[in-house]
Amino acid sequence: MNKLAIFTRGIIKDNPVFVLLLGMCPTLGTTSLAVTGFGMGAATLFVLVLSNIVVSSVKNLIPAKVRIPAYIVIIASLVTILKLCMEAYMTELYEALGVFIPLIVVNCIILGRAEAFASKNNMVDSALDGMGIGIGFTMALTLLGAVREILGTGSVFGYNFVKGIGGLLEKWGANEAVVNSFMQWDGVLLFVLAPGAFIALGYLLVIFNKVAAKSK
Amino acid sequence: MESSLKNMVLTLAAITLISAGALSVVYSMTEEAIQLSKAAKTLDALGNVLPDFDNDPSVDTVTVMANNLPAKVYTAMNGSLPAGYAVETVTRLGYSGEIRFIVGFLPNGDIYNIEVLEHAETPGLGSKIKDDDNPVLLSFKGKNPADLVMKVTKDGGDIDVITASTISSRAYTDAVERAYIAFREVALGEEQTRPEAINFVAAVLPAEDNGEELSITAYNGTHGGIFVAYTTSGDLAGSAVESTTEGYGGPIRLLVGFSPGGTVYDIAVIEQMETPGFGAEIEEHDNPLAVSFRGHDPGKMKIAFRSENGDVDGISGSSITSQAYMDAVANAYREMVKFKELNERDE
Repeated sequence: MNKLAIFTRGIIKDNPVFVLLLGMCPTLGTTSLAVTGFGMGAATLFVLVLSNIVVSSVKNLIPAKVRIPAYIVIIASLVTILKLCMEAYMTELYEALGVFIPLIVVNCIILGRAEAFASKNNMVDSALDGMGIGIGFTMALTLLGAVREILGTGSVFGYNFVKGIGGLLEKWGANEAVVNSFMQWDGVLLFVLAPGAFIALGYLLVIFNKVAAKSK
Repeated sequence: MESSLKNMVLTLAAITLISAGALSVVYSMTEEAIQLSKAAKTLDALGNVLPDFDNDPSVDTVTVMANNLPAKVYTAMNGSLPAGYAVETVTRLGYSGEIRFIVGFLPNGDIYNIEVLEHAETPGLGSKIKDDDNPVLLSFKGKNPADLVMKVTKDGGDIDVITASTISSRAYTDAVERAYIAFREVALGEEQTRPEAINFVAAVLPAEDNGEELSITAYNGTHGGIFVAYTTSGDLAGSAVESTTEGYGGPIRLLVGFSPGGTVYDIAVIEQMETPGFGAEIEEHDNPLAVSFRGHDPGKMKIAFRSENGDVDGISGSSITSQAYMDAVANAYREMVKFKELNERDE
């Protein structure tokens, strides 16, 4: 398989969230806002690429019977390093993501790619695979986060565009009741909570797979 | 590599050694930056909740206990006069656990501002406690706690709740109350007064209901005071035993009044920090626990809940509180019996 195919596969054909359905816990837990979804995806991407590189470089040194414990130690160390660096240099994002950063260790995607790809391919290919899957994950989380944030609070990436529309309408002299309905819209609370996450994810899954199937 | 025992052990040992080494390197590299960002966060928070000051309040802080949880008081100075006091408090009554706040007071007790330092409340609901314009904060900002009834409106107080986040709002109020207690102790030098058990004795013994005056002698018991009461004519009017157990939100301090025959006459709650609407129901005169004991001799009761074939009714939805209350009464009874035996021997 050529390099480009390895890279793009993780984004569409084997998207970890919409196709492989892996890593659901952080997917549902960090996507109440678009920015936290994006941050989580970026952190996972970082760990994924590094872990694929490391696993691929030591794949011949690890006896087959202890490969899973060995990969777990490697992944856990990388996540701890990420956590320490984020706590030191990216405090705000670190606090927004909270407990989900250490939970990257048990994200099935990372162990899954290590076992399914990195342990059987060279370093460059493994890195590309990690990047592709990581970008696919980030994209999925950001999209889900944006949908939940828009429906749940009327904002996206912190910018309340519903209020913005209300402000514009007011300037254009629209009916007061209409303006108020925009200014006071609080969003649909359901989408901020877990059930809404499942519902939004379900719909996105369907849409994604339909579009992917049509473009084949 | 072949999966021989030797290889497996060596590989795992090597991997874990290397990763431990790498982690300790990164830890020491980031340690300083992490400490700095924590200190910067505190200074930032202090700046947000206090008016202008020119010292470093984190240098000389005082930590006191407020309602059994620690509160750290920072003193901010402007020249030689205090500019304000910031109190870092914690509450355990949050929906998802502990919430840490920092409350800024002006020297006269007015609340300047409040910031949430750490919380795990539900996004979109309890997390609104972080909003600058949330109703709870607005109920406190600029006001003096001495002029407020420090409970949420649902519980009869002056503090507005965040819609659909009553529990988070109650927790907020609890933390600010603790902050105010600490402020009073450190800034105003007021000693925290804890309710005196002796003031409740007459209420839990029959004599008062019969209109008689009591003379009370206090002794030291295991869990607090033991009070023996005599009427003016010298007859034994009963005894009251103070008993403390650990409840859900903090200690529960009861005073159990025994009539001369050994039956429970009444039980008074001296202090409790239980959840309003749930465990706090123990303050109600006719709560199921008090009713189970009133008029009965605990020595002749099976002190366990009905669900375990006992004679005690708990408060539904408050098993931890109910268990603590029941244990406190049982302890008080044993104290009373022990005390009686000791004194009968002396006679």
